[in-house]
Amino acid sequence: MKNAILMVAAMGMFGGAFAESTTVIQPVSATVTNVCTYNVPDMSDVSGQTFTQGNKDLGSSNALSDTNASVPMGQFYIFRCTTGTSWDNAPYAKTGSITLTGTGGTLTASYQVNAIDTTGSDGDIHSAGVDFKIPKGQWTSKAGSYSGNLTVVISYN
Amino acid sequence: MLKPAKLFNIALLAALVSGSAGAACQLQTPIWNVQPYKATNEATGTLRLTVVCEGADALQQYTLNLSALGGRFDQASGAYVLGARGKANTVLTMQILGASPALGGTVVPTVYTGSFTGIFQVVIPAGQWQASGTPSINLNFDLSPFATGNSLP
Repeated sequence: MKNAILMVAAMGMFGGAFAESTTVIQPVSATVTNVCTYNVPDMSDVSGQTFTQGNKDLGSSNALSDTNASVPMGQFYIFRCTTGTSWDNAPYAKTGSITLTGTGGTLTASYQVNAIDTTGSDGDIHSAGVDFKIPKGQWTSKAGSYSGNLTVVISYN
Repeated sequence: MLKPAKLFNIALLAALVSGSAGAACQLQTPIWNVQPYKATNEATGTLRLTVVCEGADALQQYTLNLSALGGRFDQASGAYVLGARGKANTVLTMQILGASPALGGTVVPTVYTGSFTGIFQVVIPAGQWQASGTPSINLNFDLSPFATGNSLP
């Protein structure tokens, strides 16, 4: 009788070997790489790309007075980057001058880039506009049409 | 007072019990492998699960249940949706496709018999600009026995 009791007890323990749950905890992760796009809805990586804006007509000018024109904020450029992306627009001067060339010689225009950098739940947004001025007193520039380019280079990582 | 011969029997049975516990079905370390993520594109990867049942448990029945802090099963797609935490407590949303009912999320669980290997696709949707660094989260896998004759919930 004692033997029978021992067997019942042993079978109960046998069945209980896998009677309880076991839990495995596995940490998982993903590596996020910084990326920027040109314009907010776009989803193309801008790395190494060049963007050319449309021509901005600075209007008619003469040597008697300054001529001013502006490219509105966000229309010179607007980029979106992964939050925390290092953004360096130092390689270009925020203020300076460019030389416009035409049939009548050259004409100097000054510029000022107005840049705004913000961060939010949808990434970092970098936008800019430009103010141009053709200073008065450029008597040697003959009548005619003049044109030139303002080029900026931006680095990020 | 037991006689010596009966004491021997008890020792033998105890050894059998000990051997059975070591042979229970076990979930091996899950293998997680996903591409680096850039917000411009979705990243994909895999989660590989292997359960090994040996010896007396070769035909053991069991269920697997996945959980994670803040995670949920999406009933429409069958995916498990979870958010990995990164810098400044930012969240990177990830999806484990085909997780339901294989890994829970339904009233009637999937019951496995014996050893099992499953590979689940992992997707990190594009457009998550706020995430940065190396977001991480713990996945919890519960392996529970499902004895023959048990009634399903």
